[in-house]
Amino acid sequence: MSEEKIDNANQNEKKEKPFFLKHLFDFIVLVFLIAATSSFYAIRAVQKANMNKNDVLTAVVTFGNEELARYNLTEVTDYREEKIHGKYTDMTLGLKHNAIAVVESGCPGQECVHQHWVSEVNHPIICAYNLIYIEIIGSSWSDVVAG
Amino acid sequence: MKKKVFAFLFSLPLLACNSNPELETFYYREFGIFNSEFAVTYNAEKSLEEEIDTFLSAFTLEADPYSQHKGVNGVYEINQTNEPVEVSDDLYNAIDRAWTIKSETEGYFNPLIFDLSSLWKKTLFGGIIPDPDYVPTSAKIDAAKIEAPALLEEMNNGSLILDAAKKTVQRVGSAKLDLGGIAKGYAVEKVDKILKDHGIKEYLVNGGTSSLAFGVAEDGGPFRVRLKYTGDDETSLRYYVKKAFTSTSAVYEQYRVVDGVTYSHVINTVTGIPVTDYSMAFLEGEDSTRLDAYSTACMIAGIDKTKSWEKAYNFKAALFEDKDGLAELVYENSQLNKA
Repeated sequence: MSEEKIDNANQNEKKEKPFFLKHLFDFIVLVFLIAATSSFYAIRAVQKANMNKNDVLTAVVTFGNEELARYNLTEVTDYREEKIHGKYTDMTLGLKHNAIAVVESGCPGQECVHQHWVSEVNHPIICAYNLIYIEIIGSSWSDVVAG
Repeated sequence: MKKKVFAFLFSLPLLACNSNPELETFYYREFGIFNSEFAVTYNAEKSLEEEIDTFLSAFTLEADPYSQHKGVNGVYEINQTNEPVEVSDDLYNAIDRAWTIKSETEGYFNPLIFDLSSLWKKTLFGGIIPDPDYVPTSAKIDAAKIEAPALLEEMNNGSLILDAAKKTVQRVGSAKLDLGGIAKGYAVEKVDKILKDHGIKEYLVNGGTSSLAFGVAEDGGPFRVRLKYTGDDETSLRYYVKKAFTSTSAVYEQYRVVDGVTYSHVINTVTGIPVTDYSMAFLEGEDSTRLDAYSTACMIAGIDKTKSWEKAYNFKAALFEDKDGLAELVYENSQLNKA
């Protein structure tokens, strides 16, 4: 068979191949690149989601500028009470899982008691009379209190 | 063409790597801003503490109606004279907004409330700063009720002349200015702008829990907002909020009960007495300064007026009445996103 006839035969063969098979290698590379990029974003999203699940909430109680106590609220399973002493009166703190409250205070205004249970970062309990400041710290700040 | 396509595809993973540079969480906390804690939490490449602090420090002094501060032309100075007083851009803007909202609300919000507000602070709480040993009595309440109508009339007859070119504010009449009804909202709005101008998306600006600005939460989703006074930790009303402002006004923040009547820090601008039919209002919208003012106006004006204001000024509201010391929902805009 002459060279020309062989070439024509090869060209005809190529023309007859389906598009997908003709560009098979190209498609493999394309799929790989899309998968690699998607996996990267998926892993980052899962990491971010897991960050919030592992949050530990801690209540920090300060008197003036001095830290009085620190309670890991995430480790609390059963309700318990803790007594502290502010500038003028005793106070009783209630602790439950991921929340804290002032359940009793000798202060005249009782604003600290009226704040009830607090479980959010960015929402301190303040007893100005007794100079007591209770702040919850933790890495998640998507739960907020308004009021 | 094929080469260009492949070049683009190979660059995709690189784009994925560079699209989220490592961000750090920054916390700004300052106590005593408008008598509460002002807190800003945001994810950014660098701290904006200096810029936020510069604005808040200046504005807090300028907006203070009770004390003179060296080198500051503020509300205190405006209240000492009926002459024009030149003020800073921020203070002028805040006063201008307050005066516009007074007109919008037909007087349900009125920034010339200083004397009425001072009267009731002394009567209910023993002073501008609450005295923990003070107890209000029926006699003191009755005396204040006798004095209130004259101060109410003064407030309603008072006016302001604002010169935008010279940035001057001039009082007409004897009523004095008090920006307590919008100061936090304005401050939150300005700090929100600082963050947005720096391209920050994940943030929360907390003006003492009553005025809040929300970007998006760390996962890109909304924040979950619990309304104080609506129940305990498990039963409280909650909404999802993102990329918006909220403002809450509630009698429970500061109140005294005398002879079975609850008197709070919210002055009813119709009667001159701090007793309102509604115990709490929660508003969500796009303008923090306006929301701050309207949150008290809605508590005074009621549901029908609130609905008309919602449509006119594009916000969503929820109103509450007191039931056994808790805020019970009596009106809720259907577009508030319940959690």
